[in-house]
Amino acid sequence: MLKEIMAEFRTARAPMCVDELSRTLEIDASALEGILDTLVQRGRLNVIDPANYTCVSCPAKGGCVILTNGLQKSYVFRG
Amino acid sequence: MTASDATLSTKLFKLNYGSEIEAEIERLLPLIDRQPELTASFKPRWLAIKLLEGEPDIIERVKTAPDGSALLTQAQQASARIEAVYGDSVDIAIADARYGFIHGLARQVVDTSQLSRYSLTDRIDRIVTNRLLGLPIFLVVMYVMFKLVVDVSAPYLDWVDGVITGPVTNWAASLLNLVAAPEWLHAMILDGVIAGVGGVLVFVPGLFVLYFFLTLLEDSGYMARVAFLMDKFMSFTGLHGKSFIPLILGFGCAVPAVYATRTLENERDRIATGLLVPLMSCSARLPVYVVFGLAFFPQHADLLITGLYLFGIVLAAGIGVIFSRTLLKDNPDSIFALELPPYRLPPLKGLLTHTWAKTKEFVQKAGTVILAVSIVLWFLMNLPWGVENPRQSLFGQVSAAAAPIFAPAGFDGWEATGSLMTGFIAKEVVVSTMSQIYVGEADGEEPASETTFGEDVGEIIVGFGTATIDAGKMLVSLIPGVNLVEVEEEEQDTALSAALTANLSPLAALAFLIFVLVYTPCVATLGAIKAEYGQKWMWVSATYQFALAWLLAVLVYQGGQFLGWG
Repeated sequence: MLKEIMAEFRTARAPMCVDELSRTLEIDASALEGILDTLVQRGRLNVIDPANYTCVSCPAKGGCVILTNGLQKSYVFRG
Repeated sequence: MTASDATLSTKLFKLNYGSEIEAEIERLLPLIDRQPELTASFKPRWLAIKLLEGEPDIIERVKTAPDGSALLTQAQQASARIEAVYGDSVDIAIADARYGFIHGLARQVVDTSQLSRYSLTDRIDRIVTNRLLGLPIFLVVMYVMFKLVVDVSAPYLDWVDGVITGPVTNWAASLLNLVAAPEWLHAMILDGVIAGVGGVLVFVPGLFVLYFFLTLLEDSGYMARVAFLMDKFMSFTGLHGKSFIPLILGFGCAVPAVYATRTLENERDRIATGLLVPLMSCSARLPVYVVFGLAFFPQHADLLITGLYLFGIVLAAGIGVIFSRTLLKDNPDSIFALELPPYRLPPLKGLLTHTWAKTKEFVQKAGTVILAVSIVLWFLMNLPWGVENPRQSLFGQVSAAAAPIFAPAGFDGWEATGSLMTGFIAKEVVVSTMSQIYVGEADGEEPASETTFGEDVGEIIVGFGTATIDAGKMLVSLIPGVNLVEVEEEEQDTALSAALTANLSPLAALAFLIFVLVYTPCVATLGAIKAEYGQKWMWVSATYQFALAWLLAVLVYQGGQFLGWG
């Protein structure tokens, strides 16, 4: 499973959508999230989760709702 | 199956990790069994697996046990043998076996035959994020959004303009007369504050409509798709695909967009993206686009505004290519997977709340930064004290001295140059300054007519009703084949647009708009760039954008003249 996912990352030529990856590998989306998190723990992927970012220092945080709605969690392949 | 059976099954369950791993586990078990200190705390098989995985906490614990180092040596040799077979680290091989078992079990026990493989979101995504259709759909969405912003807000824009230049000015003048305010205060409030702040507040309806549709796109889940879609487009520029997300944020305000580059992996991507963010048309530039669009290209203002937004994106992509091959080169591509939220129909209350939050930010800015700039600017336009012609004022003289720089771009009047100078503070100030220069002057020449308070309130209410009816007609007229709008209704000029058309040619206006789109970011954005990437990159941003803006404006104006458009 993990090998297939990493192979998908290695061979992909464009960004992927997690749901699309789930369908390609026929893995349930929630199970895939667990596997991706495992790969993050093992240092194979980096995760970028906007939920982990605070906007304390941003002077425009009051008017910015895009940060919470526009940015999604993503997994970056470390090669 | 009873509960006791389930418990028994669980106790007996042993996951098979494959012959190679199982063989190594079997080799380690006798060594572990000889360590009573360890077997008292851990099950031998579990400990063997953790040693093969190289679990740091367990390794530390085993080191402290008698003969622990011998056990660790054996475990390391076992791991090396497994890695030689699998071609990957043991922890991955073990995790792979676990997930493989879970996946197989889930497929056996979960019946998904009644479930559709593709949800509604998936079906919409197949069209919206399609490689061929995705970009045209995005362009159509952008065009419709700006068409709505321009057409629906136009009647309200005229209404607010009428309220500010009519009743609000009358009330302020009456109040100043009542308190016997000195003449200079009279002039400062009417020609400085009301013309300056009011000139920007006129665009609140337009920004409200823009924010409403941007919020609708965000909350519905489409904006995340746009980011995903444009990732594919950005990849070829040499930038990281995820760079488009901060760029998209730049449509709102460049300051949070610069901070959002923190979500990028490496410094090179962060700096490159941060330098491109200001090329996105932030909402502060919209008033400039709307004023010039309605004044010079009233029939095609929506197309012009959409074009300026798209030009910003294309320019950012082009500059990205240059940056990735010069200033910031040698970055390996990294591929990524993005989670996309399901589509949803946002509740109206939430939409309005978010829209109001953004609009409030703009109004607060008008009441603070723009108010302060308007007052300072008024003084600068009246120094040395008593100067009759603003061109002879301190501000006029400085602006006039800098104006020749823009002669090749067609807008070398001191008024346009002065507006661009104050635009460094905030881009909305460009309109505010022009309003002070042109409308403020005009107000001084044409005193407001005498009306009672009741008449003014009545005028405001009737005006709002008329604007709402006109906006409704505009909205219905967007349906192909339907036109409820009279042609003459579309060609109403505000005082500012009349002054602009008298002072600039349409080609010079286009060059001016290109300059406003590209030139040096506002001080808040430069501050964010300095905070995130350092002073050097702040100067790079300020300098390259000014030079690029000048070059493009000159190209547009000279090119247009060459083609006979001037």
